[in-house]
Amino acid sequence: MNIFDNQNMIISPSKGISLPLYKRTFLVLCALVVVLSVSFICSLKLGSVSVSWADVYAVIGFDMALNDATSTIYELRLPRIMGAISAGALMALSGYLLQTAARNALADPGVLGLSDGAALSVIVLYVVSLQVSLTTSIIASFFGVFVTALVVLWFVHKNLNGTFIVLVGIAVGAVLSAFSDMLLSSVTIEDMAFLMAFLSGSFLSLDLASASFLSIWMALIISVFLLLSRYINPLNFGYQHAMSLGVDAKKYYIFIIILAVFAMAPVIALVGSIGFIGLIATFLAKNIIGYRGTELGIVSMLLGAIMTLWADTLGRTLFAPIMINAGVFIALIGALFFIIMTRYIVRQ
Amino acid sequence: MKLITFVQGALLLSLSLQSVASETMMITDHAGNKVEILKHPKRIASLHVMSATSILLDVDAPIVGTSTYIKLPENKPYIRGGEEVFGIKFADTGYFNYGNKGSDIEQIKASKPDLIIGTVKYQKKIFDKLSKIAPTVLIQRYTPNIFDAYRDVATWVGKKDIFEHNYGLYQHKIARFKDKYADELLGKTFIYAVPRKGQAEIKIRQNSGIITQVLFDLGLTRPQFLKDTFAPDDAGGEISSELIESLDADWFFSTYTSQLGLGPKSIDVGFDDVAPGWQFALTAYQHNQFIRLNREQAYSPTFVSADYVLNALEQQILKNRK
Amino acid sequence: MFQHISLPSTLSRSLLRILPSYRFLGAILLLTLMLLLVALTHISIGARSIAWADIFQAIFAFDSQQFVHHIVIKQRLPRLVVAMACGAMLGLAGFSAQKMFQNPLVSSSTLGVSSGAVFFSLCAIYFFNVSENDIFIPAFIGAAVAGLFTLSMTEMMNRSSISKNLHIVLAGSLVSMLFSSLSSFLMQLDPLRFANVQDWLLGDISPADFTDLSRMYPLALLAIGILLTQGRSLDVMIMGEKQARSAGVNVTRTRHITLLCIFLLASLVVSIVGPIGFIGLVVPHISKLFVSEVGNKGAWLSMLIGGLLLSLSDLLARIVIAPKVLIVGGVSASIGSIFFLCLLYFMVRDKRVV
Repeated sequence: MNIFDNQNMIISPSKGISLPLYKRTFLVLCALVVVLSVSFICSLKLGSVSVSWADVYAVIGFDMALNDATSTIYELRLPRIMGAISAGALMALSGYLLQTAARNALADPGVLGLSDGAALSVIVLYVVSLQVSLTTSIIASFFGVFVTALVVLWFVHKNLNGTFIVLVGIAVGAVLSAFSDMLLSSVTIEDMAFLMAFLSGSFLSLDLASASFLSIWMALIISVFLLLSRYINPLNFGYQHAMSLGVDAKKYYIFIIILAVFAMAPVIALVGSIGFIGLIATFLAKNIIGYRGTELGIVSMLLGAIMTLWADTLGRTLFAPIMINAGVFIALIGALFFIIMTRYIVRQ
Repeated sequence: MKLITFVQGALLLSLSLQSVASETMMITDHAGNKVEILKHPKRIASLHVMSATSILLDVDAPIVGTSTYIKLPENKPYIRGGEEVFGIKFADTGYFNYGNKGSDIEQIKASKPDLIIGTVKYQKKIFDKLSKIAPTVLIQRYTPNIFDAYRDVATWVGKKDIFEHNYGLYQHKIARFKDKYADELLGKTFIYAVPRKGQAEIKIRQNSGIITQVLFDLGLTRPQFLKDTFAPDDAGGEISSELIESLDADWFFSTYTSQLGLGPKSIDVGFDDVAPGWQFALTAYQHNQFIRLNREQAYSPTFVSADYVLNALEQQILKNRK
Repeated sequence: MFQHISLPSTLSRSLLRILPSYRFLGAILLLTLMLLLVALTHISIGARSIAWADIFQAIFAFDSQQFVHHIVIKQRLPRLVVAMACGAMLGLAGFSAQKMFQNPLVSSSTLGVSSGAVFFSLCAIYFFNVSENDIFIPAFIGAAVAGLFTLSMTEMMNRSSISKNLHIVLAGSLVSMLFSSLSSFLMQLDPLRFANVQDWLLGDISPADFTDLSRMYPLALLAIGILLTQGRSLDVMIMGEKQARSAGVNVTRTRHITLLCIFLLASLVVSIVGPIGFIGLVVPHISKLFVSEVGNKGAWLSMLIGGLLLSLSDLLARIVIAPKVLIVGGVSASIGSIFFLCLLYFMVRDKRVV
């Protein structure tokens, strides 16, 4: 049963439970889900080899006739698409959480140096050990992100001015990427070719298993986020307000950051360091629904997923047979966006 | 109903007969994977131009697609090594284009290969993905004796007899060459090194393709410095250009790339850049035993390139004898 | 008065107690000595061990038949000269930038200028088939574009008038990131073409750069000269724009000229050795330990310190994991970015700028 008034919409699935939503937010959510689905279908169709709509329809309808075209789509494109959507959503959520914690619209895993930290740990892992399995690289990535987050937090814990946090993050990221560059250029590693591609964020070597893992991880993190959104929301108004609303702000700040770390670490281990998604997605989302609650997180996740999906699809289609890594595309758009949006920083 | 079952049965039977007729064999590739491949593949996808495509062209194997480089200045895809050695232009071949180092997997799949040849270095991570498309084998680019790698590839594409025939001719040629020019070659050392542009380094290629193979087969050995610095099976490495005096072997080989219209003198320019005064450090240069080879023509692992190297050496020897 | 942000204040205060004129002379002496030391060590380090006797002979009694002499004169010496010259250029550019913006965090790398130069050079190589030796002009255009971009972004951000000093560095980092990702994108389009420039991209000093330097040095001297002449006007501008105008200084013109020269020097260095960062950031701080930034003494000192610092970094790069060689750009980026981080921290802790 829905009751509409001017702006709000209250969904009451049953007596006693009601979920208030801004009408606008609801519309936007619906629209984005539609866009995502359409993008999903288009990405199935687009690629270096042309397939027909009938084939796409067959794959979606699970009608696995398994001719060449459908297996192309299923084996080669589907993992990438699933991976891109999950990675985009996770990175966007991570960005949103970091922005809530830092109270600054410029916070993002890439900007704060977290993805550089993860990348460095993975590189060190490849240098040190001969056989690198999936689990070890994910563990290394977690380690890298955690340590970097700790370092950045230590620098800024006395002064939580937004610009300062971002600058410290950039500086820390610069240090870490300088070390990565030095390491890469002076040591000959066996999987060097793979590492170079990996560092700029590529969905090429993603297989169905890893992609499924990412999707499941995404579902997990989203559920945790939604369940605890009641506590995260007040933090948007700042430390004092949150305390006055009865929320133990400090504890939840730490929790938010931990959640953000958990969201992004597997992505970097599997796909490489892609940054900026959180930045762009959250900025766009804010401009669309103009509100800073949990819905913003959901909207930015959808936007992040759509963006990353298109970055990967365009990267493998535009210049075929030359493949451009998705990460490079996103970094490009991200940096541009970053520049355009700085004029809006003050309104934050 | 019965008709349908009969047709299905006949279909199944003919299919199984077909699999018996097109025989397969079990082989181990250079990465240690055990792969079941056809004995005579008809559609071969090659993911490395210099190492694999050239061999396939040399034995006349049925190629369905290959990875390519971009040729400047026309910015068109081309078969590096293939074009210079065999005169084959990519546009005339009708092969599928897999991009740089075989990065476009969709094209690989679309070309419907029955054998995929990749390299350990570049395709190790996507080996499983490729195996789903067709039986995939990975080759090591620098095996200590390059003819071993050649033999393997030839066997895997069902052209082993062609290889053995050509190899026999080659060995005959080598033996005659050794006799004829024993004065210049007996007990002598050689080195193959390239100046590394923009750095003060020289890249030593110790076990690198046909060039070093031919020279080792001719009985030439490594100079003492290389014996001290690199293991016998090493592909080589970079050393500082200050040590160029230690590179003083009897015969000095270097290559220039023919892209962008550069000629043999670009080697000299390169060495001037990297190690000024090198002419005074290398006795090979002073005794006219400094040989400049065209990289794309000399480097591919084919018998054509082997001939090119032998001819270049022979010409220099004859010139010196006069 | 003028801001005196630097390393822990106790050190600078104790140094400041020494009389100004003695301080300057003392600094020059000390630094020249250190420079000599570094130079000598630099010449003696290399893959081939060369005795001191040979080195002296090579310098004073060059014998072209001996290859060892060629190594000293044609390889090691040029390398040293390039390191010192480029270091001096970067040092002066950084000093002038920090003086003009009155901001202890700016330098040609933190303003995104070097990244812009790199990107435009890559574009020239890829689209116009320019050879790797002639990239000065695209580098200069790129440096100017990136720098102006940063400045206009700062203007936009400054409307809020909160933490102005941090804004320009933030804008610079963003512009730098933008051009880096553009460069990565370009390189992916044709990996073979860019195989040669991988090391240049990181910032690397090799003897071959000396030929580039010997072509470009007139331009460098011009830029240095002009910057030195602007010193007076910049001094007056420290007091503030209005005061400077009433004192008769053409503020806009000074700004334009200084910026142009900074871009020039930065793009020269990029076209010779590649984007070496943070030298311009660190040098002015060290120079402020000895002399104030008013007057041209700081400028001369910065050039000296810059040359010293870059040669020292190059030396370190060659020794640290001998016999392997690190790339100078990587070493200076690592050390410099750590320095940058500490600077940020101290600045905010002492509540200087925020």
